[in-house]
Amino acid sequence: MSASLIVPLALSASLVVAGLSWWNVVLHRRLRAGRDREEARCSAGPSPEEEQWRRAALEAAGQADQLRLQLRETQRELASLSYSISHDMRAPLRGIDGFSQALAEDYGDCLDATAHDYLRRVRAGATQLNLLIEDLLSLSRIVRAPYRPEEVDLSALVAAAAGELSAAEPMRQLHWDVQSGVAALGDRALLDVALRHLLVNAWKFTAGRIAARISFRVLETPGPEWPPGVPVYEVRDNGVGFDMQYAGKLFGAFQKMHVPEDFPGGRGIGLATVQRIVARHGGSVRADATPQEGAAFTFSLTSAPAGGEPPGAEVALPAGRMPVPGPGMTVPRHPTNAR
Amino acid sequence: MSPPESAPSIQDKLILLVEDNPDDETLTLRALSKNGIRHRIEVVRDGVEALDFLFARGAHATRVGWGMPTVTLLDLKLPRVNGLEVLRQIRADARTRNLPVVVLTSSREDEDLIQSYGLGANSYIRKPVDFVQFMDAVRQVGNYWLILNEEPPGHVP
Repeated sequence: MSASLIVPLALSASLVVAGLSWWNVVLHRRLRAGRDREEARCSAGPSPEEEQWRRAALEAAGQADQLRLQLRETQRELASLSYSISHDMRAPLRGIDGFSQALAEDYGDCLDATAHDYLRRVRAGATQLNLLIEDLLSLSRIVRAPYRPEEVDLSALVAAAAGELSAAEPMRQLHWDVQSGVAALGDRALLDVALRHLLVNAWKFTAGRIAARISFRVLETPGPEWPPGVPVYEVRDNGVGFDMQYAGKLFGAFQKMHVPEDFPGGRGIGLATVQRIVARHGGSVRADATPQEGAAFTFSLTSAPAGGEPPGAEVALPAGRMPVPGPGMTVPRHPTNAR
Repeated sequence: MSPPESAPSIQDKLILLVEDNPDDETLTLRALSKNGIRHRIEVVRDGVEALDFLFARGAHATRVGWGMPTVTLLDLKLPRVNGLEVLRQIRADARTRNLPVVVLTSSREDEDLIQSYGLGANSYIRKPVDFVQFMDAVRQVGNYWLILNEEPPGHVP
């Protein structure tokens, strides 16, 4: 059941989060527009225009509430599915692995080399399935994890991860080029996970390259594919790259670009995780690569322009000037906090 | 007076294994035996039976004189009464309050961990899928709780 069920669930949770972020922006803009008008107008009664705005704001609030309910429902479903997977799917695997081993131990003398090879394959299959289950659970944890926004020094996270990678394989010659002082508003733990997945990929796919290089920076002039004014971050390497023809599959769970013989150990969960983390921040991620020349992953963490308030920021309006849209309306918090 | 023949001496260390999955039961018993752990092992298959055994009631009413388990290996997802409720009742009763309870489960969900420790579990072990690792986990649990650890003063229900 797992992959076919949990991935769409995780995806729909991300979509709902993205939808909520978008509504927050819309609502916020409407509130701000209304506040500006409020300041400008004299003390006369509500104009037809104000009445229209008030209705629109109420409608937006209603739809945001509905999305929030939907999100909570999806998250609950995802949580109970994860719980069941965590408890119920491992036990049969333990049986497969354990009894294969028992067979080899207790009846090994009666089995020929082929039979032993089959048993070994059974156990390898159980191990692989267990790793996939672990990946699914960690992906669902990412979607369900609490979102606690703060000012995060992305450069420091990158530098720490780079140091660990280099320390783990000290023989590798690789030049790290990390722009310092790049900061963003986001959840530190989630951003750390996302950056690590990108850096580990870059590290892996530059193995064996001469003058290998991995860089991290904020783009000075992001391309037209990005909303204007939104900060865009980039992790770039000069590794083996990949064919952009298959880039569409890149961010799906368990999609791989390389055969396991060339790059063992990958299970195709890293970029799916990155995509969900970025989506939880209200941003998006793109891949760009050329075979044998390298790959670049660019991502944003908000859909609102720099300098403006990101969708994650709480909309705080001074009580006296708030364009009160009517009783019962709540100012939205960040959608992913509404758990 | 010597104890009835069916009841072993209370000096014998007893392991209570609360496990509903027959495969996991077989594998756990195999791992214990392969690791040279030859203590008495009582297997109960759900939470009700676990509590009946511990409090010597129901089907286990004649257990009087057996002593308490040196360690209880408790699965969480159990039929009828689940592992967390078993743990809660163990900690709520003066006779079993100090009983070493090791949660031995497949799950690593945060809520299971938090609740288990919150209810007073002595240890939380996630059963590895890999049998070699599982064997090693059982060996370490056995060595620690049956050999290294000093039992709380025993109670005879």
